[in-house]
Amino acid sequence: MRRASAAISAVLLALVTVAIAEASLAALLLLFSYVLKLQLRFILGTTGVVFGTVPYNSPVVNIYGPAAIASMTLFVASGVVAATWRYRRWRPAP
Amino acid sequence: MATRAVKFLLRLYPPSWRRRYGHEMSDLVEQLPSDAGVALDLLIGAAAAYAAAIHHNRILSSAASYLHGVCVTVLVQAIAFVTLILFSQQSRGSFTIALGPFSFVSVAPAVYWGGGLRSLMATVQPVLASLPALALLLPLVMALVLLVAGPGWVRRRLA
Repeated sequence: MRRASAAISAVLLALVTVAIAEASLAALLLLFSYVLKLQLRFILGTTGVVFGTVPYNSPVVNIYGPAAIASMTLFVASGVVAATWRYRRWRPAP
Repeated sequence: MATRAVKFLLRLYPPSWRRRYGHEMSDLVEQLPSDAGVALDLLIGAAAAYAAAIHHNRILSSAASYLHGVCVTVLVQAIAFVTLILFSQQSRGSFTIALGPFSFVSVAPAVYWGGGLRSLMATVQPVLASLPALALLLPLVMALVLLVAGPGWVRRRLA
């Protein structure tokens, strides 16, 4: 039971970490689009959100749903690979 | 700075460390002058004590590595975004990055109507037009190098 609750806690913590990372990345992209004077559009299926305080003839960057999924997958994969690597190579301090 | 305030910084140390060294350290802090230098030393010591506590625990160490991996990925994706913008500034037409039926990102460059300084910069001096993106890319790459090399550097310092 303790192992199961520990495993669930670890998974939840990992998901929260990925959510925070995704939010940080979105904030960074918004900042960059403001600095670089871009129109940034997040398009998920048939709906989309446009960010931009720039003229209509400025560069347009469309980020689609699969990019968000790929980004999340990359976050989880890199985190899991790093944690597994450390777990397997960990040695007690002398 | 009052001794009480400096002694309060000892609460920032991990509980296991405080159980073992707390009393000795408290006595030592009472003998030291209560200035900013001592406070800074205590803060750095607390960070090092936490790093050591994490390093000595397999699960915590793995969790820290997970967090580190995620942070590195945030920077890598931010660098990829800025590089994409740089690439789009050099190319004239719009392009889409896709894998099979799945489109990830598409970029349409700026439309220039007639002359104007911006149009001149984009056509004659594309490098100059890319300066803001390059200015963003440089600190991102530096942060990535720091993030990748930092833990090893701290570990060598602690050893």
